[in-house]
Amino acid sequence: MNHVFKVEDLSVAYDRQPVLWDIDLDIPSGILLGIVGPNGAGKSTLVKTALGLVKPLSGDVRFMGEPYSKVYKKIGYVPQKGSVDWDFPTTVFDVVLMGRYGHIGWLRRVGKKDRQATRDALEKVGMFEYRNRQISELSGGQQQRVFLARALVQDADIYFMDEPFAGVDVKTERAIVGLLKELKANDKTVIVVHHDLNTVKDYFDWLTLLNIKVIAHGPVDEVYTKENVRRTYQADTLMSMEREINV
Amino acid sequence: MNVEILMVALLTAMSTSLVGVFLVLRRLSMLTDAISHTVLLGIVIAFMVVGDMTSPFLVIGATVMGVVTVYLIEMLIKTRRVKEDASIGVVFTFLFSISVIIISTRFRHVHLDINMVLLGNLEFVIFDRFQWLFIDVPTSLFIMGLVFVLNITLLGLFYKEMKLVSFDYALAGTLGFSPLIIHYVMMTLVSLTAVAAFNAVGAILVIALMIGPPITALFLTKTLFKTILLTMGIAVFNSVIGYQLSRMMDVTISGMIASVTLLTFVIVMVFARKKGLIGRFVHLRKQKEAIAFATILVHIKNHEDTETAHVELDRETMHAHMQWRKEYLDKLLEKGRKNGYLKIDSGIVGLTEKGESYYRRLSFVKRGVLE
Amino acid sequence: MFDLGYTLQIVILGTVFLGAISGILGTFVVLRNQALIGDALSHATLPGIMIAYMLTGVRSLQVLLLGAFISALVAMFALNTIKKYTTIKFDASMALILSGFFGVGQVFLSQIQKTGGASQAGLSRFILGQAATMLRRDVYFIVIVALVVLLLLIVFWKELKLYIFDENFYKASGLSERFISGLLTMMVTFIIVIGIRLVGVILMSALIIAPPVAARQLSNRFYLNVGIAGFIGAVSGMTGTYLSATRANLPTGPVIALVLGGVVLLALLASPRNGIVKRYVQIRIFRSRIKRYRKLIHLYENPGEVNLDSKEYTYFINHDYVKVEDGALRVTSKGMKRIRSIKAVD
Repeated sequence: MNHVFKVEDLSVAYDRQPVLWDIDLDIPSGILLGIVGPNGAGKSTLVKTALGLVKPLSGDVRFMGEPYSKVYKKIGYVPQKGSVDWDFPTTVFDVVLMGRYGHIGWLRRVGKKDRQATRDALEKVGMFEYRNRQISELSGGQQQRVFLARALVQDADIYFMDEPFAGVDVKTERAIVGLLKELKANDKTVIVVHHDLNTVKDYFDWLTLLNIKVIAHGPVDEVYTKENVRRTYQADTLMSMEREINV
Repeated sequence: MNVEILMVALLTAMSTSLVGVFLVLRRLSMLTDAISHTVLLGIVIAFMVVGDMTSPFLVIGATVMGVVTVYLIEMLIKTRRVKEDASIGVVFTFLFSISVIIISTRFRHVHLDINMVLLGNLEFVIFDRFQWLFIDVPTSLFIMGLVFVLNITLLGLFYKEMKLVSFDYALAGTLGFSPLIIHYVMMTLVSLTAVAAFNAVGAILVIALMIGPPITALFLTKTLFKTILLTMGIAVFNSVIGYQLSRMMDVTISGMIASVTLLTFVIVMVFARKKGLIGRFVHLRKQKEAIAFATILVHIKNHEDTETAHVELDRETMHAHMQWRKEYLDKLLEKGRKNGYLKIDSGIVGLTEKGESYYRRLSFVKRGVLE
Repeated sequence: MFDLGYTLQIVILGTVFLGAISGILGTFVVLRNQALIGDALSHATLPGIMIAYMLTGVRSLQVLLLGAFISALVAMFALNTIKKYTTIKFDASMALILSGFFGVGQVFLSQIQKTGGASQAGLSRFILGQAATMLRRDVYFIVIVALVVLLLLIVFWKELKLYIFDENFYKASGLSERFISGLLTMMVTFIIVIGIRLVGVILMSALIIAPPVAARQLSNRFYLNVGIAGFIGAVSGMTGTYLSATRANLPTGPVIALVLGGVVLLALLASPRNGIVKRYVQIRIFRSRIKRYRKLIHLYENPGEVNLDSKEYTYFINHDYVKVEDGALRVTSKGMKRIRSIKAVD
């Protein structure tokens, strides 16, 4: 198995508060990986650091051996739904089209191909009939589908999704899971920040348990054990070290 | 009517509101308040260096100071010791007071009157003229024209990028654009536009011209492109009406344009079909009524064909069981009967065929929440 | 100490009280993340002042201030309505209200200037303020308003504090949100209204925002914040007024704002608690130590997982941070000490 995404010795701190500590991850291609951990475990930070949005304290992130800036066209990103203003004057179609901007590049205009890709992606997530709606008129689940479509048009090899199931209805959740499995079937690598332990086994084939450090990482059957989960959800990390010192 | 003054007013309103669209969408509106005040310091410093009130360096100095202001505010926010709005307030009052002190101690005799700077004076722009070859126009008109062309050109070139950065700053970064560059290009444009608008409308009214038309347009549009077009239209409308009113009443032009800007905003806010106040209230009432009606249907479904049906569904006492006001319930029952959802058989309320099918279509029933 | 003229003493009395009460009240406003509301409201007073003058023809401070007060309340009502019922962002509506109201005020001002005689000169003073021309009874008025506001703050201290820190909990406690937010707005409007005559509409925000921001750097306790902010406001008011009197043509408001800005800068940079300089140095040290001792901490947290002949530990072994024990790498007590010291840079 070739490793499409590799993290080495990664540490991230906000001021002097470590958020990620000494992370080593090897992620083979074609897997569906869930990153699970308690609040404040650094799940989102890990994704943001991978995408160059947060500067690490130390360590290195590589995609197929290259830094992010060289391969950004091959990487799709679905941020948390709350990260944008849903009252923005723009339509569903426009938002999805934005996913193509990376391929289009500076100054150049949107082309026919980009519009076609957008239409296809909208069909795929079942939002085509809503294409001319302003995004403020969507439900939470529909918003998530739009974000997903936006990532799909990026036509990436690796997808990062930050809590795609947060605040969506059951139907959408099922649809998203189906889509994720389809991506995997097409040899894409999908990395999902997730918070619901109950569904881990059904949704993912690989699992990273994270709480500032990597507690466990590997195929879900090996990693998803009572002991590992317990270790993840009790802060057994540098945080505890800090507590020890402060007392 | 003085065409030159009107032209200056129009160009000012269009240039400012154009950059204003992005400020509003990026929630940076109050930055204009800061920038429009601190550019004064830039003018003062540039004037101290070049000693000429008409030098183009004044515009450059002022623009730079506007961008520096944004940078300082961002630096202060980044320390995470001061919140965003407090940072704005601290930085701009500080820089502004420096400029007022310099002006009142060193330049009392020079043509740099603080009131003039704060309030602007559209009436006087025609006296300061730009003459070159066969061209003879007010300097303000020339400068504003240049700024307008620059704004339009840059927006045309970077429309896609500006839209992306405004909607999703982080995504712009991951797609290989540098949001920071686009951010500072925007801030430079805002600053330059504020400086250029200074002569005509002053530091405070320029804020209304920047922010007013975009937030008015946002009530009516659903795409960015239409928002920009409508913003410009509203800016033109406000300037023309403001200019005419001010001439009729013989009062300050810029003040009147700002007042009209406020007025159009209020009118649109109240009457906009979908997002306006009236529209919202109507929508809210309908929604409330729909929920109340659904509650009635559920109540009927829960009790029909049970032993207590004749008590619970008695039209005269039903309100007590539901703990509603009788008048309110009666009104809804009547409405439901008229529209064929409800029937009342010897004082007992029940569902018609139509009511039954409506009940089944209620979304929560379909999802099985109640079953 | 100083030989202060009588007029100056009077003006200083006014600015000290104004500075203190705006600092105190400002703490509530800034902690609610509403720092710029003061800015919007003070600009919004202009039409009220002008209309009051046009209606009564009197230039009495009290009458004009009543107009200012009403006008600011209208602005506040408009802001609340927009916030509650539309999707317009709050900062945008603030910007428009600030500037739009000011424009309306200017229209009236220009109307007055057209018809009025010498009396109109006094009106433009509200824009930049003019402390030097204060009358004694104006100052007494300020003192009284300040004391009333202070009294209200003391009476409703508990409720205000709760409201600011946890609005939802406050509401859940069955207390009236409308009353407390209304009270806060009223008080802020009061202070702004009495302040604009002294320092003007633009710099009034400095008086409300700067003292709390400086105080926040110096303490984490709420009541200390309030006290320090009041103190900074008072001292800056006094210093600014005094400095502005030392030279001809120095306007009082801007000098006070300048002093306040200086205090904020100083507090930000040099606060013994969280000063930027200190924090910057600490973070730098922390980062470099983390980089240097990363592997050591890695070993400490994953005992037994590190390969014995890992080359990365040669340095640590040579420096006695790590030793080989029972065929495995172990962190020595010296190494433990080092790890602990990394977090405790303070």
